[in-house]
Amino acid sequence: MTQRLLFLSLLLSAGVLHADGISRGPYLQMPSPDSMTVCWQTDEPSDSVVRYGTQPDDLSKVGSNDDARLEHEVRLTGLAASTTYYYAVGGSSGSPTCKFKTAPTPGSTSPVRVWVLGDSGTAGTGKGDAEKVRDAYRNSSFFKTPDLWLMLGDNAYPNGSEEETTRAIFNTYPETLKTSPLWSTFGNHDTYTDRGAPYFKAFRFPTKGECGGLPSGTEHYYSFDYANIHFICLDSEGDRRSGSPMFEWLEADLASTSQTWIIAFWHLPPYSKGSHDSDKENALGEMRRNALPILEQHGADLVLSGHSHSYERSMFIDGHYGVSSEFDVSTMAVDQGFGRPQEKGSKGAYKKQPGAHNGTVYVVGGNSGKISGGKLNHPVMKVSENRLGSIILDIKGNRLDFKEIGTDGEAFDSFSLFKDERAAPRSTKK
Amino acid sequence: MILSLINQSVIQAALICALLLAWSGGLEAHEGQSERIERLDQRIIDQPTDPRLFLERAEMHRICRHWRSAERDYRRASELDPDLAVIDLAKATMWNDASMSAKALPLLTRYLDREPSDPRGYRELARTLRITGDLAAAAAAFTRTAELSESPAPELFAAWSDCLREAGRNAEALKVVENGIRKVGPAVSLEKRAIKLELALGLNDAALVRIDGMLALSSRKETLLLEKSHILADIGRTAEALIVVRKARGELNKQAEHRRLSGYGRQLSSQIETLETELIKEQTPENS
Repeated sequence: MTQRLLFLSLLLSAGVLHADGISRGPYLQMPSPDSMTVCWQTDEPSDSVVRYGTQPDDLSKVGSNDDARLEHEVRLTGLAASTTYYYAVGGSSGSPTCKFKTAPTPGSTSPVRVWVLGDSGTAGTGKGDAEKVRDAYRNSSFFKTPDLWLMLGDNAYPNGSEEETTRAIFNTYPETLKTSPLWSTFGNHDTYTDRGAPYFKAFRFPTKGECGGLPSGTEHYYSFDYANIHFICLDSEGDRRSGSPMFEWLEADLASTSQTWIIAFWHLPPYSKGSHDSDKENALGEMRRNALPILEQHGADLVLSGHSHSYERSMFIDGHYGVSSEFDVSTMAVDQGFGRPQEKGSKGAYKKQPGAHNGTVYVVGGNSGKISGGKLNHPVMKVSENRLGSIILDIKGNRLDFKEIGTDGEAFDSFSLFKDERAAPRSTKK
Repeated sequence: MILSLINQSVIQAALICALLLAWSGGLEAHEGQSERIERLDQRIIDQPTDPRLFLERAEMHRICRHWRSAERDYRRASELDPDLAVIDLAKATMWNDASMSAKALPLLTRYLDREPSDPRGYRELARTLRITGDLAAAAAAFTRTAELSESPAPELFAAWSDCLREAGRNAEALKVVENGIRKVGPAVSLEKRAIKLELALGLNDAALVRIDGMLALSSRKETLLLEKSHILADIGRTAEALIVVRKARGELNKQAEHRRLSGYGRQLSSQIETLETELIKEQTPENS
C-alpha cells in the first residue's frame, strides 16, 4: 500500500496526474472587450462550470454548459472592457482562482504587451531550450504579464499529436495560459496528425468575426482587434494561390479595418535564409508573392513568421516580392537603418508616414524551441542571428516597440516604429 | 478510488513511456524537407520492408515536386503492402499536382471502391474531374464530399460553386453557396460569390440585401458602399447609386490618413471619383 501511495505521489508530482482532475488548462481564448472563452480539459467527463467576478473573494457569477464532457469551453459574455476578472473552473475541487483581463475597446490607445513564440514545440522533450526561452522572458527585467500571446506554428513537435500538444503547450506554459489569451497559427508539423485535429481541438478561433474583423468561416485563418491593433492570422499550410478564398477574405478584411496598426502572422516566412530558404521553397515564395502585395497595399506594419529556427529581422521595406537577388535596397528599403531611437549613428526609429507603401518590418522568429543555423544572409534582413529567443511587442498609441529577448534575458535586437497619426481613426463600433 | 487512480496512472505512465520512445526517433523530424527525406532514406535502409516509410518519403517528394522519386516510392510502398489503399489517393494527388490529371482518375476510382466513405477521395476526384473538364461529374463528386465531411471548409463550397458556375448552372451554384453560409457562417469568400451569382441570375434586390448584411459586419464601409453603388448603377438606379457613392466618399474621408492615403485608399478614392463622375454625367440629361 505504501509503495502504491508513493507511486501515486510520484505521478502527481511529475504532473502526470492532476489532483483537481484537470489535465489541460484552464486557458483563455478569443478575448474581446465584452467576452472571454475559458477552456480546460478533464480526465473524466464533467459539467463545464466557470465561477467568476471582479473580486478574488467573490466569484458569484457563473458561466456553464450542462452536458458532461472532457473538453470544456465556456464563453463568458457581458463583461466590461479592460477589466480584470477572477475565475475558477470546475466544481468544489476545481482550479484555484486565476485572473484575466478583457480586451480594450477597438481603437483604444491603451498600452498592449504581446509575447510571441515561434516553433516552440520542442518544449518538454528534455533538452530544455523552449523552457530556457520561457524562463528568460519570465525572469528578465522586461517581464510583464502579456495582454495576449502568439504562437507562430509548429507548437508541438514532431507531429502535433494530442500528447505532444499537452506536453509542449499545456504542460510548459500553464501560468501564461491561465492569465493571457493565446492565439496561434497553423505550422507544418501541426498538420502531421490527422491534418491538425489535435491543434483545432485545443484552440478556439473566430470564424464569424467574433473578435473584430470579417468572418472567414474557418479557424485556419482569421483576424481580431485588440486595442488599436488589427491582427491577421493566415494559414500558410492551406491554399496559397492568388485569388484563393483565404486571399479574397484577406483583401476584404483589410478593407474593413480602421485600426491604427496591422500585424499579420503565419508560419512560413516570406523571406528567410535560415534553416529554410525562401528562394528555394515554393510554399514560402507563394506566401511572399501572394500575401505581401495585399498587405503592403493596405499598409501592414509588421509580419511575423516562424519555420526557420533562427532569428531574422528585416529593415523597413516595401515592394520586394521576388527572390533575394532581386532585392534592390535603393528602391525597396524605406529605411535601411536599425530603427533604434537611441542608438548612436542610427537614423532613429522607423517612421511611417501616411501614404502608399510606406514600409513593413518582416520577422522570422522560429527560434523559441531550437536553433538550426542556415546562411542567415537574406539581403532584406538587418539582423540575423542563430540564437534562441522570443519577441515582445509593446504598443501604445502610435508607437510600437519591438524586442527580441535572448536566453540571458537581454534584448539582442530591438526597433521602434512611430506612426504619423494626423487624423484619429473614427469609432470602429459596428 | 486510489486503486482506480493507480490503474489510470499505470496506463498513463505506459503511454508516456511509449511517447518517450516515439520522441527519441520523432524529434529528428524537426527539420526541413530535404533533411526529412535524408532521415527517411536512412530509416528505409534500416527497415527496407516498411511500406509506411516509402509512403512517407513519397509524400515528401511530392511536396518537393520530385515527381519521379515520388512515383518510385509510391510504387514500392504498393508492392510491399498492396492493401494500403491510401497510396492510390496519394498518387492521384501527385498526378494532379504534376498537371497530369488523366492519370489520377483510375487511381481515384479504385481508391473509392475500397474506401467509399472517405471525403478526401471525393474531394480529389472533384478536383480531377474539374481539371479534365467533366464538370457534371465533378459537381457530383463535390456533393458527395460535402455529404461525407464532418466540418466542411469555405474552400469546399467555393470550389463546388465555381465548378457549377463554370458549367453554367448558376442557380445550383447559388444554392451551394447559401448552404455553405448556413454551415460555416457568413464567410466573405462565400458572400462575395453569392452576390455575383445573384446578379447573374437577375436577383438584384437579393444581392443588395446581402451587401447590406456585409456592411453591417464591417467597421469600415467605403469599399462595400462603392460595390453597392456599382450594382445600383448597373441595374439603372442611377440616383440611388449617386447617393451611395457619395456616402462611400464620406466614409473614406472619415478615415485616418494612414488608411486614406494607403495604396488601397488612393485606389479606392480614384474609383469613387470615376464612378461619381460617370453617374453625374448619366443623371444630367434626366435632370435637364
